[in-house]
Amino acid sequence: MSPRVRVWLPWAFLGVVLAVVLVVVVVSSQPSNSPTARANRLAHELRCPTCESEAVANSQAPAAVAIRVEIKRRIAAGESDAEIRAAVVKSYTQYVLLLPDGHGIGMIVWGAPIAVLLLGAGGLAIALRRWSQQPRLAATAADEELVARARSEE
Amino acid sequence: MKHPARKIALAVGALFVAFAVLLASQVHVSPSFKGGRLLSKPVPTFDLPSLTGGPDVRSDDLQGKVVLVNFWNSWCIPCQQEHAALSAFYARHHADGDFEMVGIVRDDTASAARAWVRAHHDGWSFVTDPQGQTSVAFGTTGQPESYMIAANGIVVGVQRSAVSVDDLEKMLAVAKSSA
Amino acid sequence: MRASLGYAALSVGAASCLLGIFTLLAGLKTGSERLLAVGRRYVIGIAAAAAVAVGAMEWALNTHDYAIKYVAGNVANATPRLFTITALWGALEGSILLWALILSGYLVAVTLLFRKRGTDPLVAWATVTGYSVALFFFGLMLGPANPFKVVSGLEPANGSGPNPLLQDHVLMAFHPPILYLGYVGMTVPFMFAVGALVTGRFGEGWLVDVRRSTLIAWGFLTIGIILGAWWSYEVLGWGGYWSWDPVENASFMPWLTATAFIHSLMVQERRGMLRVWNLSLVIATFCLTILGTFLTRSGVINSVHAFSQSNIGPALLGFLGLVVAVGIGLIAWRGDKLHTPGRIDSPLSREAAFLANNLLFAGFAFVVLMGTVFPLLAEALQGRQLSVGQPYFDRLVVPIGIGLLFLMAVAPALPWRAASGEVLRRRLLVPAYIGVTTMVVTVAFGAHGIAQVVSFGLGSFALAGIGRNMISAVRARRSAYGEAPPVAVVNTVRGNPRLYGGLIVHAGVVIIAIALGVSSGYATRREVSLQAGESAKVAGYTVTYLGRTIDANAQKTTISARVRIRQGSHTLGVYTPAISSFPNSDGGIGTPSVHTGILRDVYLTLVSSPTEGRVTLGVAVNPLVAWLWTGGLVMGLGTGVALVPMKRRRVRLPDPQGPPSGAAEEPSAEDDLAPVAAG
Repeated sequence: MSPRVRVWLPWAFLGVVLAVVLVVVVVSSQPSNSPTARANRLAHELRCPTCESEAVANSQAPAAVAIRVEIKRRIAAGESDAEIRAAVVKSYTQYVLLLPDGHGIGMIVWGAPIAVLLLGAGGLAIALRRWSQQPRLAATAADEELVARARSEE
Repeated sequence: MKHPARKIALAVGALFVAFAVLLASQVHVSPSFKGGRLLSKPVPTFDLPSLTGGPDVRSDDLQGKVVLVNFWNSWCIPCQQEHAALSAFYARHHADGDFEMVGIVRDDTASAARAWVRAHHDGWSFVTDPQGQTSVAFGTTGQPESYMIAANGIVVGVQRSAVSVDDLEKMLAVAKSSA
Repeated sequence: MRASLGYAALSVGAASCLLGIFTLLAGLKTGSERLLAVGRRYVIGIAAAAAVAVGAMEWALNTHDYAIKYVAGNVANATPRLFTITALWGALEGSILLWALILSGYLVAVTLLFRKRGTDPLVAWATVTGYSVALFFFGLMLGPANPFKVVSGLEPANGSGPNPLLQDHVLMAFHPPILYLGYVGMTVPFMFAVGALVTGRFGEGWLVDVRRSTLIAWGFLTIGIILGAWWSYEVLGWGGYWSWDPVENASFMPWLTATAFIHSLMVQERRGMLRVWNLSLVIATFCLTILGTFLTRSGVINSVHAFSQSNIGPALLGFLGLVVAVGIGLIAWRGDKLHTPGRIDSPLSREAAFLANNLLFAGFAFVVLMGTVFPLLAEALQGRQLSVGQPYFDRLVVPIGIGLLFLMAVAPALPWRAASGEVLRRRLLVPAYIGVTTMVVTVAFGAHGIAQVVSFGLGSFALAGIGRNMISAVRARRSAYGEAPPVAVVNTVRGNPRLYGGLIVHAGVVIIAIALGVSSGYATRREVSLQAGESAKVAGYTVTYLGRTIDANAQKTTISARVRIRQGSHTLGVYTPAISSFPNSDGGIGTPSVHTGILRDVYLTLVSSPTEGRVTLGVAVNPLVAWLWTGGLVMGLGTGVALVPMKRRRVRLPDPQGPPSGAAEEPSAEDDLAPVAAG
């Protein structure tokens, strides 16, 4: 076995195990689609219209309780999550969406942070590449002189 | 290589100025929820049981009439304060023929609401909203809230506080002119 | 009388700031050491004024001087003593007073620490900056946020009492002052950043000056944020501890940028790079504290604990504008001098990891900022009311957090400049295997949720790395000096408190990360309706309704349900979730009751007011929540360790050809430990 392989083999093995575990986790943790789980998920995505900044799921305010009942009723009636969200938005406007819609002005709230992170990562990658190709700084004649003077003063 | 600090600093500064102007424009705006947007939209359909033992009240049956929908309950003080205005308004218009008034109980027990209605001998229809479905459909955030619906089923007036007879007359005039 | 005393003190404070600023500026202009010395002494006036004003306010609160509007609005005759004292920071004006007190305390500390460098222009400019910030806050209190405003008309016979949420829990005495110690403390690094920019000495010197103060403020901010989460868990009753509420975000944003700075300053110390970036981070941190104060104290944003609408908004926004203008102006002015000829040799190096860390922390702060101000933008630009909440933050912040956890596991093992494959294998392979094994084991035991499982893996990877680092250092020390294990541990840590303090903080972060993952992913919550004597079983715990208790006094009327919690046959106790009504607020305030366990909390809330015969309870079983607070404590301890001064070994080497002292004395990274151990 070449030394190069000996260095990388344990990492490669680790990578394979990691990939398998991640696949197992992703497959096994698909969100449940039981009516209760769906109702709970929707209630966490909707804001209680009369509270300060609480989700419908976390509030006992009458409006929040009524919206929870309404979500359950609509799930029982066979509506999809999107339809239920749309129905609540129709009554209470997009104010109740804790997960802002990504269209129109919502592009700012989703797009800006992602763009900043991606641009930053890209910039960092370019800088690291440029640095690693740049030759190390050589001492100039002025530097050498400075060092020599300092030495002689010691 | 020249350091780009100066350019970046100026760009950040420009962004901040825009941001500060936006913030400044919001200083005296109340951030609390201003309510749903039912105005100029079709009224949500409803089918609610009577509070006082009459037949169900259904939005379909009310089509072709101007309808005042009032969300209220027995314990809310502004509801009690606006009661005189509602009574006077009803007395003035209930004989019009094309006008109906519906009180929907919100966030109260049926027995307490019934006791209040009996004590005040109100003549308009009262219904309960057992699971809050209709108050959600209207996008209510509290009570009292009043909605004036024109004969074509479009909501032409919304008030999220106690009403006066004047408020109601104005909404009624809009409803009649829009039909 | 107390009002006049307090107001007079505030005026003296403002005057001292003004005089101090002019004296120092005159001293800087003329180079007069005498003027600079006099200017420094005005800090006594500022601190004394703030202390007298706070004393006057406490005196007024505790003697129920209802002639003062703040007292009448925030305490009542029946308010318990503790919450009478804490009423100082229960509302806007008082909290600004506390701000001024803490700021003047920091100014005194800076003056004392730098008394030997009193004539140094950098320190003088820093002091001018500090005085100016203090002047702003005194000015705020003399104008729009006057805590000593007198009621118009008759003095009320009784006050209205504190906000009901603020007179319920003893954490109210600790969370706000500690948070403020951190929040206000971020002024000190800002002062020195301005000093460094004005004097043009933005090399590494100013970093040495601010390293400690930043760390102190950061430690307080960390503990303050954790205590705030604990307070909301114990008081608000929705079952969680963090809701991305604007007030929480306001304290979290400066924490993020300060954390980035604590890491990136090491790159500048080591490699002389990132000068502009470090200055910008310090200025941004201070700006974020002012922005946060503006957002939450001017009534522009809805929040669980924002103070009521007030008219200090324009003043705070103006001050923020001034601070940003000064910061950006100085950086732009010094722009061409700030360039450093540094380079990073390899992406597999400590400094490259710090750059990635800074990118993620800055991005994190930007996400939080965006989520907090977006509703304002939408309203201003389109007149629409939109919201941003927990699901938004979860989606963006969880991946960033996982990236940071990964860096935390890997970066401490990376050497400066470049890492060889051999070093990586020696330092990281075993911890990485431990991490992946943890994932396999937890998945085998039924763990689900990608974020949770990955955080378990990275958390144990990081912990194993920390353990390996400490064990190898202790071992090296033992073989070099023959010390007993406990002595060797203490001496290892004392030999490099910054490194090991930092690693302890990292261990605290791992604890919190795992507790966050578990408590957010595996909680059980049910609503149960019980008759008296009836029981229900939730996640292995049996709750039994025993009856209700009504307790009425002048402060509040409390209706509580007595609920017994048992686990198997073992009774854990009787807990009393309650609903209280206060004379100054309509509607009941629910108070949860929490059984805190090492592995799981049982969290009880009342869904509606109980009757003698029946109760509807919210029962939540929240795993590992206690470890959030423990992790916070560990982070605080680690910060304390990192602040311990480096133990100076007096190396008396008669040999003039010996290595220059300093090289062997300051091992600030693992790769430097070998020569120490050998030497």
